Amino acid sequence: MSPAPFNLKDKKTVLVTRCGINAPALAAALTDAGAILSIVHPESATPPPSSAAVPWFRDAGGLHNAVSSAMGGLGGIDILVNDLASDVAKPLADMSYEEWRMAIDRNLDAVFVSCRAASGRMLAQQGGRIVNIASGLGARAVVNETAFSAAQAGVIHLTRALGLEWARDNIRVNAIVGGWIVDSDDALPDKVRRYIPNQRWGKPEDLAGVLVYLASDSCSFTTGEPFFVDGGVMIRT
Amino acid sequence: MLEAEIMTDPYDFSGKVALVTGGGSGLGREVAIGLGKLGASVVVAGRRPGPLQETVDAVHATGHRALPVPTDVTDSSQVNALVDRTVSHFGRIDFLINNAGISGADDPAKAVWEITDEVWHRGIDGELTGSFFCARAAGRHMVEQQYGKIVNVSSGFGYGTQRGQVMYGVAKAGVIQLTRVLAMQWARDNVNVNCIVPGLFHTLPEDMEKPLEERGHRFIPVGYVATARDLVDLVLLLCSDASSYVTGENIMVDGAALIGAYAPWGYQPLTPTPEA
Repeated sequence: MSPAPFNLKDKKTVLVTRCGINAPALAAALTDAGAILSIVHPESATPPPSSAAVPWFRDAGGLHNAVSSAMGGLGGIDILVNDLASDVAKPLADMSYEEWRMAIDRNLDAVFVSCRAASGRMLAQQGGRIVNIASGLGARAVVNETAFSAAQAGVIHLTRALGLEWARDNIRVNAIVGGWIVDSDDALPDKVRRYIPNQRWGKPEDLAGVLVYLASDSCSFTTGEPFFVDGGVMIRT
Repeated sequence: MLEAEIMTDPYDFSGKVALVTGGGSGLGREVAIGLGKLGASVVVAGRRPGPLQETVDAVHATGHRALPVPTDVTDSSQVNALVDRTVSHFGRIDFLINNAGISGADDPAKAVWEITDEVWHRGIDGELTGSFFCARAAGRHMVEQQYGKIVNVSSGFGYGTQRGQVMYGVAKAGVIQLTRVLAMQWARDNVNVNCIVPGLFHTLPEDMEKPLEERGHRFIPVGYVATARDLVDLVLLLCSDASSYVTGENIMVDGAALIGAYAPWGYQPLTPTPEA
C-alpha cells in the first residue's frame, strides 16, 4: 500500500464544476480527505461551500483565467478535477450548428482549456493528478444524445491521450465515467433503473471513493484510464 | 489503374478452397453456398451427416464443388484429419470459416457454483477450443503457401453479457482475442484473421421465411432480428482480397444493439437547449 492511502491532506486542489448534481459530493469528498479546495464555477451558478471560489465567464478564455486565479490563490496545484459535463438531448436533425458547437464547447473544449491552464505548473513541478468526470454516454449511446455522446467520447479519449502525453511527467490523468447518476429517485423513468444490472440509481456520493483514489498518491501507476462507476450498465448487451 | 488490376475481380474465388465448420445449417450453410456461388470449392464440416449433405447439394446446385466431412471440432484428431482431407481432396486450403459452436452448456437455472468442471470445459471447448484447433491445423498450410483467410464467428455476448450466461460469453470473448492473437502471429505471412460479431439473429429456415416485421424485436435499435443472410456478405468480404489490409478486426453486425445497450429502447430524452 502506498503512503497515506485515501488521504489528500493539504493537497492544493482545484475543482472546476458546472455545479450540477455531482458538485457537492465531489467537493465534500475532496475536503473530507484533507484537500485544500478552490472551486471554479460558472458566474451564474452557486458553488458548494469551500474555502475559496472563483467564477468564470462561459468562454474558454474566461475559464483559463479563472483556473489560473484559483491556482494563484492556493499558491499552486496538486489536483485538478474537471466536472464539466453539460447535457444536451435533442434530435440531431433539429440541432443548429451553434447548438452543436455549444455542446462540444461546454463538454469537451472546456476540459481542454482547464487541463492546459494547469499544465504549466504541473509540468514545471513534475507532478499532478487530473480527474475528468465523464459520462457513460461517451462509450455507449441513447437516442437524442448524439452531440453529448460525441463530446463525452472526446473527454474519455482526451483522458487516455493526455495520460500518455504526460506519462513521464508524473502527471496522472484519469476519468470517472458515471452511469445513470441522479439526485432523486424519480428524476428519470423507472424503466431505466430496472435496466441497470444492480437495479439501483447511481448517487453522486458513489463517485467519491474513486475520486479520492484517483486524486491521491496511491494512484501512481494508473493513468489514461476511464474508471466506470455505473452499476454494471456497460457489461450489458 | 493498371489494366491487370481492373481485370482482377476480388470476388472471383475460382481455384480457392474453403473450409466451413458448422456448415450443416444456419450461417454455415449460407456461407458455404455464398462461397460456392463465387467459385470456391467448399469443404463442409459438421457433426450431422444429413444436414452436411444438404449443404453440399446446395453448393453443387451453384455449379461448384463441395465435400462433406463429418467432424466434431472439439476433437483435435478429427480436426487434423479434416484439414488433411481438405488438402488431399482439393489440393490446398485458402479460407477457414470457424463457424461451429453449439455447446448448449449454459443453464440459466444453475448457480455458478453448480457448474461442474465437465460442463465448464464443454462450454469453452464447443465455442472456443474448436476454433483454435481448426486455425492451428489450417494455419500451417496457409503460412506455408503464404496465403490464407480465417474468419471467426464470435457474438455480441463476447462483449456484453446477460444473467444466466457464463461459458458462452467467456468463450466468445476468447474468440475475439484469438482473432487478434492469430492475426499478429501470421501478420507477415499474408494470412488475414478476422471475426464477425453478430448480435441476435435467426438461423432456422422457418424463422428466416417470416416477413421482416414479424421478426421484429423491440430491443434491437434497427427494429428487427437479422438472418444469416445479413452476415454472409461480410464473411465473403473478409475472404476476398478486397480486404487484404484488414486483419485482427472484430466487426459487429448487431443492428446497433451493443452501442444502444445503455437504456431500454424507446427512452429518448429531451433537454431544453442551454442559453448561450
